[in-house]
Amino acid sequence: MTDVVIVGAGVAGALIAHKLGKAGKQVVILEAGAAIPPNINAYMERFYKSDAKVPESPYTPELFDKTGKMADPKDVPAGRQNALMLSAENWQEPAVSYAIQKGKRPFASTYERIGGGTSMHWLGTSLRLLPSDFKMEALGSDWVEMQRGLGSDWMDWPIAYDDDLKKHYADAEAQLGVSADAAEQDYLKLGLGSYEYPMPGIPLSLLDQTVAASLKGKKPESLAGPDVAPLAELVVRSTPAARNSRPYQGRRACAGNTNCIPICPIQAKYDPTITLNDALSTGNVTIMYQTVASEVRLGENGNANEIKYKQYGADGRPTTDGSIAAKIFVLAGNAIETPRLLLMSNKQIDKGVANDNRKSDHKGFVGKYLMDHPYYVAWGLTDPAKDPVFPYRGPLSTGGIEDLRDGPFRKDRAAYRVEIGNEGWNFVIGGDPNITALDFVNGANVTGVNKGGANGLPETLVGKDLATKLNAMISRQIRFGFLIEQTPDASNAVTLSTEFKDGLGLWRPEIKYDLSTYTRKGLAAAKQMADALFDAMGATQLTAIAENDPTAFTIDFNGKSTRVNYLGAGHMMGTYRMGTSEDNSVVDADQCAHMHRNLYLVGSGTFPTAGTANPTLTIAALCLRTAEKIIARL
Amino acid sequence: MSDFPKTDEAADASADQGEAGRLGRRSVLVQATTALIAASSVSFDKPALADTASDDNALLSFINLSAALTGVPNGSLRPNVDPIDLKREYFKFIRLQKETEPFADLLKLAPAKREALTDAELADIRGKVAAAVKMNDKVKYLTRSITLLWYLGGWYVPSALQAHEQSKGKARPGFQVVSANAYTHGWIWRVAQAHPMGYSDMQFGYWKTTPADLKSFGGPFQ
Repeated sequence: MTDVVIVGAGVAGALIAHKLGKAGKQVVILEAGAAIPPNINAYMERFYKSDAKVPESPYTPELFDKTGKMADPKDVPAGRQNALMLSAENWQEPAVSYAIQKGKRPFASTYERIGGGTSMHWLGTSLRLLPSDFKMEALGSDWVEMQRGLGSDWMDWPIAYDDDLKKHYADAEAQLGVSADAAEQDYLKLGLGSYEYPMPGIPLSLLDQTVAASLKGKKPESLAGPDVAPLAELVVRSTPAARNSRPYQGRRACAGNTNCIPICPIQAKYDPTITLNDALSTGNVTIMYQTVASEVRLGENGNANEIKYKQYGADGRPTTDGSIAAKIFVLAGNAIETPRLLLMSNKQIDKGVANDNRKSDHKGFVGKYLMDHPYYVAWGLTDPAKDPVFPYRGPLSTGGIEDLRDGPFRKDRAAYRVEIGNEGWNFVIGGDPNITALDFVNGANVTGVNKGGANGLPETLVGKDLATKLNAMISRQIRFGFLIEQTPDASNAVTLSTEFKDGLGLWRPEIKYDLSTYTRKGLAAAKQMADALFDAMGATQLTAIAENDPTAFTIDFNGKSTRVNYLGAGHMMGTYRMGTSEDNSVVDADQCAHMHRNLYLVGSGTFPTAGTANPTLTIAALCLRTAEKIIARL
Repeated sequence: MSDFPKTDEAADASADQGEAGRLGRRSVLVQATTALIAASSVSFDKPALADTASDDNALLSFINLSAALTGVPNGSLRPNVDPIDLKREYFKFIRLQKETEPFADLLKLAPAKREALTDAELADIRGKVAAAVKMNDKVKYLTRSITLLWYLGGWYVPSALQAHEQSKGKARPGFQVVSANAYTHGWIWRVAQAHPMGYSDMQFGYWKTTPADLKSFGGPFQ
């Protein structure tokens, strides 16, 4: 009999499968999406030839159907959210958007359903959560109660940083291959001591160096606002990343392809297919592609008994239905697809598997507390009197400001981290350098910088004038990203649509999403920091928020009326949170469902709070820990 | 007098379909290059060879026209060792696109010269192009399509560029990436002293220092 069935071949599923396979356990993975191609060039070719170079461009399902229109999700067997579904026109349109969005604001993150999962298009940033992130109740019971009254259900993790999670972070950093210098990362009580990362840190880019020079000698409160006053200084730190700074695990050192998202062409950035291939090489792990889990079935003892699935062919049409039994089941989808599967498993129990069904007045936790890191971006041009910073070179991001991830201000507003971008305006204005070129060749001013003609009208340039202008403009492009901690709000939830199905006849996910005042204040603080950063650099800011942007809002913060918007960070968290009992959560610290003791739910859906670190490293650390627990049980 | 087709003629040409259409465009090209062939005193034994030579000369004119439009030296658009051969790929590609009827006449504005163009020669081409552009919007937007093709490796249909400009950028034009090579060899990356996103031949850590000067990226621009 199969020991373990894993649903999902992303980073979580791959790491667990590998560890179990190495221990001689028999594992079957069910993956909803297509197989990994024999050669990465299949992905690269699709990327190069894509008109819309969004995070999903290299992967399947194709973004457009044969007629060139965006595929209708009702026809797609294993759909997913993609960046093109999130425009002001599309985000609430079920003929375009896979998820049915019924909230006040868009949930703006996207994902993959493919061998390797969403970490195929991740940036590689590998920050640990801070010790304080696991203990937000330390802000006081009054604060927790006050927040609860506002709809935000803060809860300590049932595991602490300094418990065995710290050693699993180190294990995860070895598995993924993280480059960083411990001395530089030992801030905000991370307690790295004599620890050494697997590889030395990634060098700072010219822009990182320019920002660092601008911060020198300035008081943090003059940049980041009065609520950070106790902070001694703001520094730019090299960002820990699962990106090779020297050959590692048979993979090359980063060649700075500036393409971590959507795909590193040389796999210098870790992606889960690396672990997946290792898992398959153990001889104990098999994988079934194009196999969509549709129901978790329970046995008489209440434990999971089997998983039913639906398969489809190369043409996208359903082929066979089946089921698979095992001793232990691991659901390793993401924070949208895993609750969707649990909620679809409602034929035996009304509220779905792993939801609290005991009390008639209890509505359960599955699907609730959906979180992201709402992502504010600001962009502009450096001072023409200073040396250019030459973007579009190096990894997409090499440096950041991390010291604002914690502080007393967390009683009042969300924390954030600052990510410095090396890809100019590539994604912030809809696909640069094309937009800048189009402006100057065709006499438009979408970028906001083409106003050198008569009366400030756009210029149309040819020849040397054109080449010189493009060089001057592009070599000075800068952008900053701010990742904001989001509150865990029960009202932000994934449920099942009762109207719209996918190409296999399964109900699509329905999402309700909004931002609390606490989170919106964090965004406002980030926006004010961005403005100050441009001033400190003597740079010209060109950040623009469209009038019809459904994510935009205005809020008073620090005595200033502040208009701000957000993107998705791709960090879906919190919809099957971990806690101490079924009274407050879906899974325990081992990521095992309280209600079904052979059913594990892994991935960032288990995070009870979001912190400001991108989730992949923590997902990996928790999964490696969970794999040990499973092995001990088998 | 301009040699560029008037609107009606252009419409007739674009209405040509299939083999007949290709022949139509080809005959225009041959016509366009006849004067140049005569001027360069090249003699041909067979008509078939004459066609090939015409194409070669037209290709040279295309490269020189492109150099004038983009600012990239003609020697950089036509390197001595050129396994990628984008120049020929683009030359063929443009002739198969809709709304490119003025292409043959545009080629007449640039000499079929192999050697590097002088600044005066480039200025002369640009002057002639500017005059032609003033006479005919189809020419104007075709020159911009060609410019963007070299810079971005993608084809913007001329009428889509017209709509884009007239809507002040609101009507965002779609485009077609011609090939993977076209994307990775777009001149925008070299003009930026960078490399195509997803295609770097540099070494670890290069991003911490200032890039090489423009000469290393196919410049200086003319």
